[in-house]
Order: sequence, then C-alpha cells, then structure tokens
Amino acid sequence: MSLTTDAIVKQFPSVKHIHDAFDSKKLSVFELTQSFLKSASESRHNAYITLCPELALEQARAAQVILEKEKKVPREKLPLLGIPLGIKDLIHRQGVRTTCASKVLENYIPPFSATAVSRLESAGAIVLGKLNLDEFGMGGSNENSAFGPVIHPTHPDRVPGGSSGGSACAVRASLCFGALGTDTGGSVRLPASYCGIVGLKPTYGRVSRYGLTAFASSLDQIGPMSRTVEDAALMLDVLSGHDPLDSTSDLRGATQARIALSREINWSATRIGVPKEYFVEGLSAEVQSSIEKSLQWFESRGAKLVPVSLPLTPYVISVYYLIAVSEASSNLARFDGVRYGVRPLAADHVKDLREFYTQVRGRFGAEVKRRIILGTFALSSGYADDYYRLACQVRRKMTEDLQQAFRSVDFIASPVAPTTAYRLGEKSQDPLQMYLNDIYTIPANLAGLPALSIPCGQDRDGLPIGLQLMAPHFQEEPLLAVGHALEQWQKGESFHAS
Amino acid sequence: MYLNYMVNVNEKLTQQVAHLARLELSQQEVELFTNQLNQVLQYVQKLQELDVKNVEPMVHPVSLDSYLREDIIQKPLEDSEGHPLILSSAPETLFEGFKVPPIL
Amino acid sequence: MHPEFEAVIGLEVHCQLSTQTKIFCACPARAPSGVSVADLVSNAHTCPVCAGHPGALPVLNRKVVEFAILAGLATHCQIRRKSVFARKNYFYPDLPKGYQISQFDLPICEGGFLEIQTSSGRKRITLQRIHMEEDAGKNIHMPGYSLVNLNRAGVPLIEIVSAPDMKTPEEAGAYLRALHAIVTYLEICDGNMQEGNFRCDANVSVMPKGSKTLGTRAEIKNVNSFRFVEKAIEYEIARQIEVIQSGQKVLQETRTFDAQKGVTLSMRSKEEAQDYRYFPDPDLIPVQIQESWIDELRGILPELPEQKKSRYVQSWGLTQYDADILTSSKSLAQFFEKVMERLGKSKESVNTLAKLASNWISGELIRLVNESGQDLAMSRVLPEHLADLVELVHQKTISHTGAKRVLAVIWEAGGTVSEVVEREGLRQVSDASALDPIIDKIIEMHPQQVQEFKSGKEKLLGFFVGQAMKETSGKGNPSLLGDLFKKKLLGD
Repeated sequence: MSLTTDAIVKQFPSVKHIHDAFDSKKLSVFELTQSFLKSASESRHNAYITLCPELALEQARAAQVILEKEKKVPREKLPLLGIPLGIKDLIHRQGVRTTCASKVLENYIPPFSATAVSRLESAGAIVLGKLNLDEFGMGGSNENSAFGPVIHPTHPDRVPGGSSGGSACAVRASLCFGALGTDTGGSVRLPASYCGIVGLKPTYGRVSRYGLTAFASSLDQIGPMSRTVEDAALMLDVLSGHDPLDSTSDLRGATQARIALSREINWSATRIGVPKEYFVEGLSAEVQSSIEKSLQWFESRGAKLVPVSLPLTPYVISVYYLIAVSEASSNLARFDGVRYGVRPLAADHVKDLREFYTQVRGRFGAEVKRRIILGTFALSSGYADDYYRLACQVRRKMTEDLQQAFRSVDFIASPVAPTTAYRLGEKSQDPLQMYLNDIYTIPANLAGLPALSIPCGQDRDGLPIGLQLMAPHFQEEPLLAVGHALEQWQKGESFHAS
Repeated sequence: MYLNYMVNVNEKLTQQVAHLARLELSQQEVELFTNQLNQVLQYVQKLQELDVKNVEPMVHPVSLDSYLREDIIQKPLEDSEGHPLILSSAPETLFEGFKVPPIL
Repeated sequence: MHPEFEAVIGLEVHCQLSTQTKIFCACPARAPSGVSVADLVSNAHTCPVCAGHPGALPVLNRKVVEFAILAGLATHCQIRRKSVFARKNYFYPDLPKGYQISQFDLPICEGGFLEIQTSSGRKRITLQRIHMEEDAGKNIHMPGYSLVNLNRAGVPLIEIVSAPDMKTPEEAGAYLRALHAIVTYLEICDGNMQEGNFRCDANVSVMPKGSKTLGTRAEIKNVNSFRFVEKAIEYEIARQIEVIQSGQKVLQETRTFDAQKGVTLSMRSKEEAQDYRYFPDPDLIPVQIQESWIDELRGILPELPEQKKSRYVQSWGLTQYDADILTSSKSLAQFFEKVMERLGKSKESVNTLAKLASNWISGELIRLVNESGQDLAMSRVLPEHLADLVELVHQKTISHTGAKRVLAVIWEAGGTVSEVVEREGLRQVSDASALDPIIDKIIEMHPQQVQEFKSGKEKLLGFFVGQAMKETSGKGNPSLLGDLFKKKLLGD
C-alpha cells in the first residue's frame, strides 16, 4: 500500500470506513499503522514528543491476528480495532515516556496506564505516540512546550491552539486517525476550532482522570479529538463509564453516543440558546458570521433560537484563572525530584533541601512558574478568602445561571474563540491577552457541562472556525447528535477541506 | 463601584510566595512576575463587586455520589528482581529508599 | 506547681487505624503478622497513589470512615453527615504529593468528651474534634544524606484534638490512658506507642492564676509513653514559669522531650510559621454518611471502659481504683469477666470473690505478665485457673503463699489448679482440731515466750505462728493458727 495518510483519511474519513476497508481487505491493519508512523516521523509540525513504533507495530500485529481469526472486525467487542491514535502527553501509557512537555519530567516513564488509554487499547486501538502540548496543559497556543512549539497543520506561521495543540494538529494533518486531548479551560475545543477538527469536552466526571497528570482537578476532563463527530462519539462510548480508581468519576455506565447519532432529531422541539453577552466587541466579524450561518441552518430545520442571558460572563475569566491556578499550584507540588523526574544535581552535590527543591523546580517553564506563583498567592493565608474562596463562590453563581438558562433551552451555541488561529509569537508576551481568549470555553469547565467544538466555516485566509455547542450535564448523546447533523450538512456544502 | 479590598504585590511578597512554592527566581524573574501578578490581580479584582454573601463555595460542578473502597489489599507491584516497582522511576535510590540530601 | 500560676494543657493524639489497607489506596497498611514494621523492605508497600505519581488519585477506604465514626460514637461526638477532605500544603521529602490529605473545616466528628479520674476526682475533658488524615512516610537520616521510605505514607490516621481543659500532668496522663483504652477497646488502633501508632502532642501554656488571657503555648511532639508525656509537661510548665519570672517571653515553638535528661528542647531547625493554604481537595467528594450506617455502628459498639467500670463497681462492689486497673486494657477486662462468669455462680459472697479476683489479677497475674514481657494473650494461666484459685483461697483451702506458687507453676508449665495443689502438697490444714495438738506442742516448747506474750508482747504471735508453720511444713493456715494461739493463750 503506498497511500499517504492524507489520501487514506480522504478516502476513509471515519472509523466506520476504515473498518469496512479492513473487512473488504482494501486496507491492511499493519500497513495502516505503518503509514501513520511514517507520516508522524516525517512531519515537520512537531506534533509528537514521543513516538512508540515498537509498541504500535506490536499492537497492530496483534490486531491483524484478531482480524484474520474473526474474518470481519468485531465492531461490538472491539470498536476501535486497528485504529491508530495519538495520546496527549499529559496522559499515561505504561512504559512509554510521559513528559507533560516539561523539562521536569523529561525522563519519566509511568508504571501504570491511564484508565482512558487502557480502555482505548482494550477496544483494539493502536497507540502511535505522545502528542505535544503546552507544558502541564497551561497555555492556549502550544508555544509553551519545552519540546518546541507545534505548527498549525495547514498554515505554518500560525499556532494550532492549545493546550492540546499537538493532538489537534496531528488529527488534522493525518498524523494519527484520532487523538485524546484534555480540556481544563478549553484546551480540547480551542485547538479543535483553530485546526478545523471535532473536539469534545465531556461532562465533568464522565471520563476517568486516573492517569491524567492533574492541572486543575475540578476542571480537567479528557476528551476525544477526531475528524468526524461519529468518531468522537465512538471514542466517548469507549472512554466513558465509572472508574473505581477516580473518586470524581460519575457512577453512570458508558455512553451510547454512536447509536444516538442515527436517531431522528425532533428539530421543532429543539431550542438553542444564544447568549447575548457573547456577541460583543472583540469577536471577529468573520467568526461571528460563520456562527450565525450555522444558527440559521438550525433554524431552517425547525429549531428555535432563544436569546439567553449569562450576566456573569465578564467575570468568567477571573473565576477560572483563580481556581485553576490555585489547584494547579498544589497539584504541581509533587514535582520535587525525590521519587521520579529529572534531578539536575545528585543528592550528594546539593547543600540542603531548599537548594535541592529549587534546582529541580527551576526547570519549569515561565508560564508554569507564573501560574504556580499566582495560585500559591490566591491560596495564601490572608488572601485566600478574597481570591480562591471568592472565585469558588462566584463559580456556584455562574453554574446556577447556566442551569437556569438550560430550563428554557436544550443547547447553548457560541463561537469557540473570538478569532481564528493567530500568528506564532503574537500573544505570548502578554499572558493576560492569552487568558482573554478563553472566554467562550471556560464556562463549560466551571459548570462541568459537556461541550462540543465542530468546524463551521473558514475565514478569508482559509483558517478554520469552530462552533461550540454546550448541553446540560450528561447530555452528550443529544449534543453529539445535533453536532453530527450540522457536520453532515457542512459536508454537503464542502466546508471540510481535505 | 466600591472595591473593598485592593492589593498590590511588591517584590518581597513575590519572593515569599515563590519560596512557599520552592521556586527560586532570578531578579529579572522577580520583577517580571511581580508586574504580571499585579496585572492579573488587578483584573480579577472586579470579582469583589459581586454580592456573594451566603453563597457556598463550589468545589465540584457536578453532584457526584461518594464511592468508598472496600478494605482489600492489592499487592504492590515488583520488578523482575523482586524490588518494589515504584523504585524503578526513582532518580537515586539506596537500600531501597529514595535518596535525598541530609534533612537535619 | 507554682501557686501563682496555672497551666493550660491541650492534647492532640494521632492514632494509626488498624485497617488492612491505606486510607486512599489498596497498599497494605501494616506489616504481615509476625513481621515487625522495622523489618519490612523500604517502599515495599507503595504504589503510584501513595507515592504521589502524576495522574494517581485517592479513593477513600470505607473501613477508615467506619473506624472514625466508632471513635466518635465512643466519645459522644456529633458525627458530621457530610465531611470534607482538605489539602494541607507543604514541602518535605516524606510527603509525596507536597500536601497531606487531611480534614480542616468540616471534620467527621466534633464536640465529644471523655471522663477522667485523678487524685482530685472525676473531670470531664471536652474533645474538640476527630478527623481523618493520611500519615506521611519516614525519613532515615544517614551521614551526608537521607533516605525516604514511603511504606507509612498513606496509612490512615485519626487525629483526636482535646480542648485545652487539662491543668496538670496527672490529668493529661489520665486523659491519654482513657483515650488509649477506648481506641484499643474499639479495636480500631493497636495502641502501640513504641511503634508510633498512638502518638501524642501536648500543647502547654501557663498563665497567672485566675487570668482570663491564655499564655503563649509551646507544642511538645513525639513523646512515646504516658509517663514521659507527664514528665515532659511537668518540666515544660516549670520551664515556662521560670522564663516568665525572669522577665522573658515564652516562645511559640515546637519542642521535643529528651527522656534521658528529663527536659524539653526546642526544635529550632523547624521552619518559620508555615502557611498551609488549606483548601478542599478537589480529587475527593465530601464523605456522605447515612443515618442507617451510624445506627448500625452504634449497634456494634462494644462495652467501653467507662461502662465496664460502672458495672464492676455496681455489680460487684469493686472500688473505682480496682475497676480502673482491670479496665486498663480490653484483654485484662475480658479476662476478669471470664473469671467472674465462673465465680458469679455463687450469689452470696460474690463481692468478696470479685475483690479477691481483682487483687489476684491486678497483683500477681499482671506481675507475671510484665516480667515475662509477653502479652496476656500468651498466658498459660487462663480465666478458669484464676477462678478456681480464687475459690480455694476464699475457702482457705490454700494459703496466700500457696496460691502464688500455684499461679507460678501454671504460668510456666500449665496444668489445672487442683492438680498442682495436690502435686505440690499445698492444701492448707485449716482444720482446727488437726492443728490443736501442734499448738499445744509449741506452747509447751516455748514457755518463756508464752510468759512474755501473756504479759503484753503481742508481736510474739508471729513467732508462735512461724513455729507452728515449721512444724506443719508450711501447710498450716497461718491466720487460723494465729486465732487459735490467741484463744489458747489469752482465752476469750
């Protein structure tokens, strides 16, 4: 087989098509993995930090054996058989280096796998390698990686978005068939939007966080990133469900999202909320018009567009940043060089404990240090009530506002970001500027709501634009169904550039 | 708009906070972070406009049921030579302990 | 204690819970039976969770909550239906995550009390709170470096905090002993202070007598016996008074106790006041406790020391003092109760029997146990033996000395009481008619002493009894002999 992966994904755009091709022997399991490994190793995007070809090929061989035995892909039992995926390098795969894009963990090999990864592998998926990201998930452009920035998949002078920049780029550039990202304030949805792919942040508690290096424990979720909504749904079905190893994992069983996509949508009973506070100055005209076009399409199908009000919108970023950095400052305290990670100086060469800690932790990047300092401050005695605690109180009010809005609508629609992908270096000097970019994505993390980013257009430079849809807690199935419908329409209109 | 609490971080405070987090900053970093910290704090100051009297702080956004584990031992993993597997990630060990500079 | 000052003492006790697994992971919480904790390979009981690896998450052990509730019920606390875990953030090599998971604002139990008995009477000491937390690992200090062993990291603890209600070292000691008895009775903690599974920190301050303002307090840590705690507090009170009287200020600091020298020492190596930045741990959900669970646990609460003591005093007329000793450990109390099961069958004289049993247990039996360094559980002397022994002593079938002998023999080599009595020929002669001729003989043999006795030298009674004992090869009943001699010589 000499098809490039670009050609492969064009011809077989989703898992269903790949499995059909396996069944009809148009594609070979082993060669598919080989092709992706080749693309990944040859690409200049810097999307991967670590490739694990031996493991991937071993898994591919095993998948091939199964296929030969079963004659056809056993889609119920192994819904991801032979599908090569990339894993954001914040999430563990046992025996494969997890760096978190940090110098502090350059050499860390986890002795266990994340539940999310184990479930993917149990479903037959192949792990190609670990994808680049902003260090410890902190950033919105993938420029904060100790392993170099990731380049936008189609526009090399642009950022792919972050922090799951490597994941989004790899999916879009055909360096993997699908990927896992993580989303704390928009880190799956923003890069998905900038790169023109699908990204889902599930409800908080839907997907186990065991094996995910924690950034902000009450905000983090692992989410699938893929070319199609159907594949995101398929991955969610495999990833979700209670995990006894994660106390914040909801007790529900796995979703049945893929099946939900084929159900008829009752459009006339569908109400889509449009927050009036979102469509303000700062939002690019092209993004706005693209969003409006999608909304008009929903209306044309019979859905009602309902104006909603989220009056706490101006405070969203303040609340998020205080909570996220506070939790992060505590979560990152374990990186002290004692039990794992890089220790620049041996214990014998260090004067005392204080020097020991600071030389280990001095290897954090600037953004990480900044957030640790801000978070430590926000939790400090004398300040905690006015910063961390206050933010948690406002969080409750915001969540209540959103729940109130969902009494009159089924979904809330918005842009994913105020603009399309910006230039490398454009925002990296001003952290506050970067933080303001997250205004549309943050509410879903604060309120724990599921949120989907799907491509809905391009700007005049060909840069992708994403539409965000949020749903109430644990309503991923209807959310994905509506997203799927929009995507099908988009495809009909040839919005998906390949 | 009345702000009931206005804070201005100075370099000394930045140093103190950095020490709490075991980060050693260069003078340049102290200056830079102090500025940036002040910018961010200025921005988040506006939270104080809101009336949150009697609002319970929120830790988890979703109502989750507590799951308790049964008191059953799971044998810790060992490597092929019978050493505790957890030591295999360690930068420096001695006599099966994690080696660190003298504590006392 | 200086008459112009009074002391204010509060105690914090950390109990390691005797669950199978650690509080937040399934690693073993203790050494397998027969193996001492010190002999375990370092880090043999660790996993990514208790070693603080990235991505690892805590999951709460149900048994820990159960044990904490039991401790709360036994000390009359309110059990919080929803309690929250918080992170206590600081850096130390034996603290893998860089924070300890503990409880801050909403601990599982609050507002209980303990009753103590001291030489000044009974007193109620308030318990402010009981909360769950994880233990840290251990640092081993070597020349030029240290080694961290995380076997203990994550072992479940409950921290029991008293109000500063105690005023003397004696009260502190009584409180500790009472608390120790409770947790060992509940079987939620081994109570082994040497191995560190019952640790006590004392907060001590002094103030002018009658003052309303508390003085600065010092914390004394790591004292591993009741006696040492009492001594440490005693020394600290005196030290603080001296400091104040010399015009200086007492420092708020942490101190240790040097048992050799009997003094407390400042741990000046500790850092300045820590800012722990407590906040609710977002990796854990608040612990929700159903009413039905509390009722269930209330139903399985064993009879506690206080209740036993009352019962012993009421049912058998024992003194508080006796009851205190018998209930100082659960195994001792159970031993006594088994003895009373046998003895209690005879309704009359049950109080006398109880008193005898109490004396023999708290005297001779405890002495044998302590000298051997073993546990009461290893004793060959069983409750049946002691019950039989007490019967025989009560009936004056054997003498006090004889009984001691029986106990010693059975302790060493087992057997039954009647067997040993026969074998050793310990049966006392308590038959007055049998002793009569001997008495006559002795009187005949010692006319001078008889004369002296009759004219007032009462002490000679012992001489006569001694002679008769020799004559009977020790088998005579000494008190009966004494009575008979008196009767014969003095008439009555």
